[in-house]
Amino acid sequence: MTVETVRDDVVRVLRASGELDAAVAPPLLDQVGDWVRGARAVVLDLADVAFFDSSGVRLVDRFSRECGRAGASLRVVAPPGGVARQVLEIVGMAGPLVDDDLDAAVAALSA
Amino acid sequence: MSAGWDAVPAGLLTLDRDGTLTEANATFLSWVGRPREDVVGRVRLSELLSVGGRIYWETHLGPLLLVERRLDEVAVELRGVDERLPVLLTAVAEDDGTVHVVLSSARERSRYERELRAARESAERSAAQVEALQLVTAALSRAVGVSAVAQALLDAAVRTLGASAAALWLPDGTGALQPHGARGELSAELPRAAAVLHERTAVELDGRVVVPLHGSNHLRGVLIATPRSEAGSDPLDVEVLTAVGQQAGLALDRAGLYEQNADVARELQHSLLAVDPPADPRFTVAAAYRPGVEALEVGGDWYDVFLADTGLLSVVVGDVVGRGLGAASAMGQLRSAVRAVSGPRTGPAALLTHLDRFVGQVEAAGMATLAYAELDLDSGEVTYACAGHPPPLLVRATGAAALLWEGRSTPLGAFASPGDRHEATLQLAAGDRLLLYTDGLIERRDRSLDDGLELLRATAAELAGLPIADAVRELTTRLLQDEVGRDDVCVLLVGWDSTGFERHVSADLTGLSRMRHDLAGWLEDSGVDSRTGRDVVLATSEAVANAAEHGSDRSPDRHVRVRARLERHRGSSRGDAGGDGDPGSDGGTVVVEVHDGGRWRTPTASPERGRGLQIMGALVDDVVVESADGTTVVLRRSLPGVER
Repeated sequence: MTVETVRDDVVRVLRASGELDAAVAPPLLDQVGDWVRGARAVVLDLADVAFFDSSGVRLVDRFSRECGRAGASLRVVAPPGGVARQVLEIVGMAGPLVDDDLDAAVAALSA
Repeated sequence: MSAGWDAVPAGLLTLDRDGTLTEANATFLSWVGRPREDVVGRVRLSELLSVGGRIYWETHLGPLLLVERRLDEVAVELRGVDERLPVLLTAVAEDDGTVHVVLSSARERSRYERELRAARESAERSAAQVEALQLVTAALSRAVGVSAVAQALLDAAVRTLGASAAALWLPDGTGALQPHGARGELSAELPRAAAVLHERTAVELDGRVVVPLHGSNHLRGVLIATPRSEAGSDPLDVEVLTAVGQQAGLALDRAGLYEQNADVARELQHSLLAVDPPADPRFTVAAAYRPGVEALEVGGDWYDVFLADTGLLSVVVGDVVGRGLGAASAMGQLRSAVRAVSGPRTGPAALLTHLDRFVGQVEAAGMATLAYAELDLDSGEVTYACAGHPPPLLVRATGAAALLWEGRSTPLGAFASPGDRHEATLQLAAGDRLLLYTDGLIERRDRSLDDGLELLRATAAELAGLPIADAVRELTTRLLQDEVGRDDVCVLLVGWDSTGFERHVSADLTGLSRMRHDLAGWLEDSGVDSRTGRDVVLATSEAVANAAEHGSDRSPDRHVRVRARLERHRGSSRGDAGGDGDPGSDGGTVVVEVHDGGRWRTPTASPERGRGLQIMGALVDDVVVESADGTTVVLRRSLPGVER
């Protein structure tokens, strides 16, 4: 599981890859504050995530909270048919937060 | 004639040609009770014989004397004073016709012969006594166990010792004598006089013979024998019965001791064979133990099934030469040693080397053989070794069967050097089975070992399609059906079934990702479509994380067990479902069980946990929480049916 900043201008894009599960998620939670600090708009790109469960939901939750605290906007990229999208839909978080791809997310933040 | 002539204690006569007496001594005259002048020159010898004797003389003896010139010790009877006098007549004829006769009294000889006969009969009787005693002793020493000794003794009493009836009393647990058995019609009760029972010898009492059976320390029983009542029957021989009683007492001593040992040995073996095989959906196992038909003592055959490590199943069948307590305790020690030594880093060959050293220290295990195999439950790989034991049999799911002749070495013992031990590997496919057994299954006096092995191979191949427990039962029944007096037999059949899935995930979740990939692979191999497979894997992962987090506090020392299986609908079984092995073709259900040793906590404990359950609930059709022996979450997801 890695999370890296792939773009940081008007929008900061953080791309997660690998498997996001209960074994790896907890230490990531504490880094969310650092990852969003100073950003005006944040995209969490989960398109490359191979596995995603309630731990991932928790991570998204934490992003949402830290962004709210920092006054930053947040969009999550989770392509339809992918595991992250599936899980986020199950827990009812897909509608207000999730975009199908990065372009859509950036566009939404730039609007 | 001299005075000596008259004094000779035999009748002396001289006859002329026509048999008239010309001389007779005083002894003869006294026998016939007539004066000399009455007989000499006046009567023929034949006239002095009994009627029968006279006819005999005239028709046989007279002519014989003329021809042969002599007669030797011919028995005739003289007409004596009051009675007939048996005599033996010896006569010699001279050329001129003169006959010299010697008569000796046969009455004296008869007494001698009676005495001789009596002595011979007495000798014969004591020989018969000795023979009877030998027969009884042999029967008693052949008998194994108290009941058998009792039976032999009762049989001997009526068949060999001449009793018309016999009854036996043996002491119960408290030492009180209880009727044990009887032969013949008998209204026998124990004599009231207890003193009789404590005699060292058999005693005649009220027309019966009471025989105490003394062991070296205790009265082991009492035999009461009734003589035959018919005329001419011999009375019971008290001396012989006394000796038999002594023999029987000692035989009962031995039998009692033997039974104690046999009981202990049987119990020991029983406990050793009460194997509770580990439960795992990836293998099935069935075992059978049949004690030898005639043997009262347990043998040294044994088997064991256990997990040497997570995912590594050990199966072993062994044979300790010998019977009884020694063999049972040796096999117990050997079994413990196998369990202690085996493990993922040991392997069969090294295990045997360890056992060689062990056997060298356990005298009773002096001669032991075993077949040992380790089955990797994930991969189906088998590593096996045989120490002087009949070869295991590989039974393929296809019905092919082959004896495994590799990995062989000598029986366990100190003579084997470390480099002598070999092992071999083979790959099982799903549904394949491995058969381990002891030689009693294949060895018969009337057929070669090769024939026995071939019969086993062919029979096992035929039974490949049966459920495993039925296969073992049928195999032992078929191979042992005609056997009498056979040895002990142990049979162990283990089947590998890749269609079941099991993993243990450490509660620190380091193995969580690996488990998901394995489960996904298993689902794919099982023909589950990728969409359904992904849902099941995700739900399972949630359940495991949940269990690790809340049931085991993520302790690396604790494990969460994941098992998965496919269940068929409409009663179709795994083996013949759909014909092409595609489980999706007729629907069915994937069942996943996630088990931890902890206590289930209500989902409200944390919002994340509630979310996990929410996700699980959305991905599978049914989530059930069972709280017996820890917590088990059972997930069910039906598979899409495919229209044909």
